[in-house]
Amino acid sequence: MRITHAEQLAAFVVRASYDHLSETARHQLKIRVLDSLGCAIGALGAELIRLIRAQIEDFGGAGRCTLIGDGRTAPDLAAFYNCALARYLDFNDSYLAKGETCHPSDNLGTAQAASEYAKGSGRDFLTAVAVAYQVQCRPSDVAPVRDKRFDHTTQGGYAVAAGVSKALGLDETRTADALAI
Amino acid sequence: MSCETVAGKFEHLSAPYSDAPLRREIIDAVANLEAIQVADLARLLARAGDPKPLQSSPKGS
Repeated sequence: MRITHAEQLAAFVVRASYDHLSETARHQLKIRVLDSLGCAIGALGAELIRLIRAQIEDFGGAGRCTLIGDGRTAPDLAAFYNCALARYLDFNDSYLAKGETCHPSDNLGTAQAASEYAKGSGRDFLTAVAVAYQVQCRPSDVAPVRDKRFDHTTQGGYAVAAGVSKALGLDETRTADALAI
Repeated sequence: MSCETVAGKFEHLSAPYSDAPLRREIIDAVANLEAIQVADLARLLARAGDPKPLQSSPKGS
């Protein structure tokens, strides 16, 4: 039976575990989490952030996830808001592949919202972030799209799906579905 | 980046929106993520605020 790329990637996501992370990887992940949170908090006064906040206050839905800087909203909107915060200053991390540059910490807000929604532990969160980083950066190395005039958010879309799937504890079928979307 | 460098960057960026004890709590929470729940970290992050408007509008890639 032929296995799709999404199914192969889903198998990697589901098998990945905190125990697979080296001490160095865990340490470096925490450095990037703190770096990204600094960027996020530092953007709390931005006008764009205020506009997103106003939209969330109008359409926020069930308050299952926490906003940086106070408040709760639906998981997807919390992810949107916290990701916008981390990205707004354009001071977050960069991964410089040969033919691609991406910002893997774009994944933190989604991983945080999904982990909080799933009542996850810090270990679960770190594992989800690690998976998202790997799914963002490895394709940037081996399958860059910049020269084809696509943005690095192409790989980012897979990375977000991978990180959220891991945080939610989805099985291979559901993870593959999320990646395929 | 080293721990010291990222801690300095965190302090610099978050100081306008948080007091020193909160910043310390966030740094400690990240350093000890394995021992806490994500909700614990989120609760700390929710305490940041009282922002002043930013003047510039950065352009990202």
